[in-house]
This record gives sequence, C-alpha cells and structure tokens, in this order.
Amino acid sequence: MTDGDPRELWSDDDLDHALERLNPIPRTDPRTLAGLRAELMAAAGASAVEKGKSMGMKKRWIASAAAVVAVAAGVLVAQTVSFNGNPPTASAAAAELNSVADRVRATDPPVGPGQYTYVGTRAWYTATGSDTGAELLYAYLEENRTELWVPPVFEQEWMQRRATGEKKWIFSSEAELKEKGIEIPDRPHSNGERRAPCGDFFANSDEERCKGEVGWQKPSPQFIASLPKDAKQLHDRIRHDTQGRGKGPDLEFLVYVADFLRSGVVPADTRANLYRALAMVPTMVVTDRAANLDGRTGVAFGVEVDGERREIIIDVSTGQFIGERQIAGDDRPGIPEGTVTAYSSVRTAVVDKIGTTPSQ
Amino acid sequence: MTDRDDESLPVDRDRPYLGGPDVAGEFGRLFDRYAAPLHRYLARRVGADAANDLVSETFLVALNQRHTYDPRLGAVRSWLYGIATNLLRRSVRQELRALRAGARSLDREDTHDTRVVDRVDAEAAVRRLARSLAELSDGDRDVLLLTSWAGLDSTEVAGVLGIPVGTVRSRLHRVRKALRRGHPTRPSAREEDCHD
Repeated sequence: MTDGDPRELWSDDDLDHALERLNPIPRTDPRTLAGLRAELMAAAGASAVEKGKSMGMKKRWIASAAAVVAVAAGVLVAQTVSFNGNPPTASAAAAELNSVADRVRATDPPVGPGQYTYVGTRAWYTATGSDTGAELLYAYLEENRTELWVPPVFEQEWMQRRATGEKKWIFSSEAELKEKGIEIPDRPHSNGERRAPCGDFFANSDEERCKGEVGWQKPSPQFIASLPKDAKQLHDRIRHDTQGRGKGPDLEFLVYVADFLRSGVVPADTRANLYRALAMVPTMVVTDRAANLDGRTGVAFGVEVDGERREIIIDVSTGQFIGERQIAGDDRPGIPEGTVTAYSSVRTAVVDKIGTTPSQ
Repeated sequence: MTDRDDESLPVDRDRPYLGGPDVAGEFGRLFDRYAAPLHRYLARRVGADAANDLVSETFLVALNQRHTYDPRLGAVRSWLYGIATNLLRRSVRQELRALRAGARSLDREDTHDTRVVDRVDAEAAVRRLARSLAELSDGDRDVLLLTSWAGLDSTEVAGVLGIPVGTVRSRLHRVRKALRRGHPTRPSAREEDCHD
C-alpha cells in the first residue's frame, strides 16, 4: 500500500513493528495485581480470609454475599422475620400504597437560598468471609453512616460525609476469629468528607462533574421533571428501564424505586405517584406492619424472589420513606433463612448551612 | 446476571448488570478478567508503577460508578478502558516526557540476532516513533494505542472514547498515514523531524 507513495517512509508493517517494539511490556509481579484485587474486594465489601501469617499468593478471596450496594434495613443482629398468621396479600399492599399516596403532603418543606436538604442515612451492611467458599467463617453487619447536603440548585456544591462504625456479629465473633488467626480486612475507602457540584463526588475529573449520567440512581431535577405524571405511565417507564435486569422484574422494580427514594431528593408529588405505580406491581406484599428501623416504625412493602426479600419501609401516616431492609433466603450458607442481612434508615431535613446536622 | 443482549457484538459480549447486590462477586470477576490486560496496556503507556495506581483507581471508580454502566450501551470492557483512559490523562505529561526522551526502553531481545547496523536502525526507528507519538493529540494517541497496544477494535475504541465508530476509523487511518510519513500532525521545524 505504501509502495507507490514515496512520501511514506514506512509500510504499515514497519509501523506495526515499531509500535510492537516501543515500550515493551514490563514484567509484572502477580502479587501486585493480587494486592490491587484485595483493595477492590475490600472496597466492594468482600472479605479476605487469611489464615495464619503469610500465605502470600495463597490468600483466598471470598466473594461476599454483601449487600453493600445500598440496601438495607435494620433490626437486631440475626433477627429473623417471619409471617405470623395470615399470609400477606398483594391486593392489601396495593390498597395500602394507594392510601399512603393520598396521605403524602402536596409539597415538601421549602429549601430557601443558602439552605440545604440534609439526607442522613444509617445503614448496616453484611460482610461475610468463608474459608473455601463453602464454610462460613464469619458474618457481621457493619454500620455505615452517610450524610448528604443537597443544595437548592443541583449544579451548586454538594457535600457528603461517610463513616463506618460498629459491628454487629451474626456469625462468629472478633475474639473467636482472633483465636483462630483469621484476619478481617478493613473496609475503609470512601469514608471521609468530599464536596462536588451535582453530587458528582466520584467523577473521574473536575471536567466531568455535572456531566455524569443521571437517572433513578442519581436523580437530577431534569430527570425527575421528565418522568410521567400519570401513575400507570410511570409504572410502565420503570418496567421499561428495568427490563432484563436483576433477579426478577418485580424485585428489580422495587430496587429501582428504592434507589430513587434513597437519594432523598424525590419531591412529594413524585413520591405519591411512585407509590401508586408501586401498587401496580403484582407480587408486592405488606411484609411487616411494624418494621422497626433505628427506633422508627413503618410498614414494610416487599418483593420476594427465591426466598430473598427486599423491602422499603414507609411511614404510612405521612408517606415518608424511612428506610429499607434485605432479608436472606435459604441460599446463604451459615446464615439462617429470614436473617436481616442489611437495613438502613433515612431521614431528611432542611438545614441552614452545609455540613450542619439537624437537631434531633 | 450476564449478557442479555442478543444484538451481535464483534469482540466482547460481556455486558453484566452491575447494580445487583453481589457487588464483590461481580467486581471480583471483572478484575480477574480485565485487570491483567489493562495493566499491560497502561504499563506500556506510563510504566509499571503508574499502571498499578491506574488499575487500582479504574476499578475503584468503576465500583463507585457502577450504576452509571448501562449494559445496553456497550460491553463492560469498553467502559473500563474508558475510565482508565480518563484517568490516564492525568499522567499524560509523564507519558510525553518519556516519549520525547525517545522511548522508555527498547525491546532488545527482538534484535539479538540481527546485525549491529540493523539493530541501530531499528532502534532509531522506534525512537523516532516515540517522538512522533508525543506530537499526536491525546485523542489521536488514544485511538492508535487502544487499537495497537490494547488490542481493541474500532467499535470498542468508539465506546471507550465516546465517539462515533466512523470517527475512530478515519482518525486511525489519518494517524497511521502521518506516522508512516514521519510527520505526525504537522511538519515541524525541529531537527529530528527535518532529519527524516
């Protein structure tokens, strides 16, 4: 191809050959990648189990069943949830959700200039570790506190503060693990304080802030305004957006609704509409009439797939979303079916300054 | 939770749903599949040490932004390399310095058996290429090296850089042609270019 053109010094092959020889691949110590993987797994909430002191490359990594995503709910450790008496019915959940929707106040408390919406989430997520992937060595719930300050204008500066706290043991204990010489990896990472416009705390670069994708998991005012005002159409929109995802269509529907509500920025009218859309989900049931999240009680609406259950908890007197729970099915070795594996409670308030916490 | 798209994808059909509850399991799998080749690619661009940091950051950013990955829009490999490419921008000065110095190191093994004069020619050629790469725009260099060093095809490169596949192809054609002529972007008055 180059033969006919005297201006070209190299053929394609010459160029490829030079490219091949430039900056040859350096030798990489596989332990380096193992270390990076360990970091990632810790960040993802998995647990590394290392018996004894130095096993080097023989470290065994256990994918955890952790629900680090953002799930939640809270109760006592290893509390199990069961249905007493009458089995829940779908139609009851629908009726309840519709009446809750009617009780949502028409507007939210106004956020004035200079003020912020405060969203405080206290969540407990499960971390587990097992030896060979079969035998559970430990499981605990770890407290994760996330506070978010949302400015009245989306593009203004947001702030997030995250911290991990105490552990509640579900299986084994700190002392027992120490005795066995099993180390529990730290799960630090995103702890700390960070600020960014548009809430883009984890953008790759400053230029990319406010250019990130918005949607159910990260709702912008534009996204919220674009949603259908009709409950059936909103239902159809969520069906469309969750199509083919997750463990089952109804479960994923609830997951998206939970993602959306968890943001703390869904306005009252949209929230009411969302409850009406949720009422159209056939396998949605009232799973607990008095779900207790850090002392706040609400009605749990849940969907179950293969024994695993996800719930959102709503204060039915005000229509306020107060949190989430996740409950294990029978597919988690060592963890009894019905164990609450994650829970969170959320509260929102209007505060006068970024970084200040509402009283009470 | 694996592929659910039936449309044909030329190279990498891996389009997982990353929003599921088993975050560690899914990201462990992603790491096992993509970290080593990504590391090799980044190490050629900025050296092994910087590549360690970049691989680590790429996966942590991916973890934090997993909800923004839409499996319907592209394979997960393109998404990961896209994150890495953005992060790589921060190291661009370091990369350029090394290229201007005439390549970090040459693959000498390859020329072991050739005559000394050929080897010297070959090394000069690689150095010239290195300097030419330093003259390319960031976007042009990415297209070339994602193709040549990372082994991605045009569709994947388009996904990585967020540009149309036609643009990738024409850019690649233009860049390769310019490199073959020894004038990457524009004729330069610099000595080494005039020499060629």
